[in-house]
Amino acid sequence: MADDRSDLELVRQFQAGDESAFNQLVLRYQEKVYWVARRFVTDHEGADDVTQEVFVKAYESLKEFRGDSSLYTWLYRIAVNLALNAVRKRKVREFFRMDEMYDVIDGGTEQPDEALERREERSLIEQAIERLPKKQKAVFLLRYYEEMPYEEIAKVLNTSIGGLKANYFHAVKKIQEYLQRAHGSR
Amino acid sequence: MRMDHVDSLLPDYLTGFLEEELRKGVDEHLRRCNRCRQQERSLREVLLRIAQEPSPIVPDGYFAALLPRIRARLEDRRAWRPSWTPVVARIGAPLAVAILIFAIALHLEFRYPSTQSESETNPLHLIAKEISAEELQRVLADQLSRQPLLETTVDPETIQQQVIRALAADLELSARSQSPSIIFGNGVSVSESLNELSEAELQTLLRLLEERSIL
Ligand SMILES: [Zn+2]
Repeated sequence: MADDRSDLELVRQFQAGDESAFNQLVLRYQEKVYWVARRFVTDHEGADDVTQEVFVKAYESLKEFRGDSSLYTWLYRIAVNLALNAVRKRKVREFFRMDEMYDVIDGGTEQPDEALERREERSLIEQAIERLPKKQKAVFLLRYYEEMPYEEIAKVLNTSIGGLKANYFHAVKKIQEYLQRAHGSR
Repeated sequence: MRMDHVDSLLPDYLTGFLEEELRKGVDEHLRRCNRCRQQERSLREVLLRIAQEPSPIVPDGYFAALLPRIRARLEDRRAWRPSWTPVVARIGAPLAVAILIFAIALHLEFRYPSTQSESETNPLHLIAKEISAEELQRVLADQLSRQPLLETTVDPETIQQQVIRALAADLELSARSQSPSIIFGNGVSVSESLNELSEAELQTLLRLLEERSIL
């Protein structure tokens, strides 16, 4: 399935109405986009949904893509934003779920809370990453797992490059402290 | 090479991502600085643990089947849009926020029957009034533990304000995605609830939206 066309060539061809060029872009970037999403939202179903949404959104906005940044950076930016959104939506859902949990407690009827159980199963590392402030989390995931250069991270997060290294350090430090606390409380 | 403490270089140093010259500088600093050496040791330990985490599992054949599913979703979206767009165009994304707020309000009102008629007309007011400070604190603590976007405080009144702000921020972001699959409690999506709302309810929501500057 080798395709020599550059990203920009594919984009131009898609903009000119060639649907198969879009398919090529999906095949080229689907794994990268999926893995970013997976790191942020952690479960496969959530990551799958975000991945599909990234390409739906890309399909709709590629017409305006000028090529100022690389397509790779552009897609990552969409992916990170949608993934952060997905995490936030989940928090709202959990707000309701937590509410229902209180009802159960109030009513005295025992009922296992699936969401809570699932959370317990998550590894300490995952829990620690989940608790990081948004920017530190994004910098950590993009730097550690994606091995992205700081210049690229700055573009993806739409921020200046200064302070990104410090964000990365603080993220790792917080993960360490979380693990330490978790072990201490056992 | 003279350097301050090398904290922010350590993660890249430990994962082998520092250019030669910086790496030598860090080596040099670590030889002289006990503090940074300790820091390096503890970070090394945690990075090792992170590296030992097993990779998440992706179902077999997932990527091979992804493109057709994305194509199908694009088709769905195109087929579905005409019936949805007029509503969106008329009221806009803020409605999603309003519905979510409204849903929370209904949900809470159901749980905490209101005796004040004033609070019935303003869901946010109702949220602030009807939940005990203790409960709000739990909600906030839950939010904080996952994503500390807010400052911690022990004053119950400001906790109420903070929860409202936190929720509003959450909801606003959800709405901005303009996705048809914005989901709230009980798995009901906004697009579904749009269809269920009567014209009068829509009017009420719009009025509430206008009254509230935070949205
Ligand atoms: Zn030092």
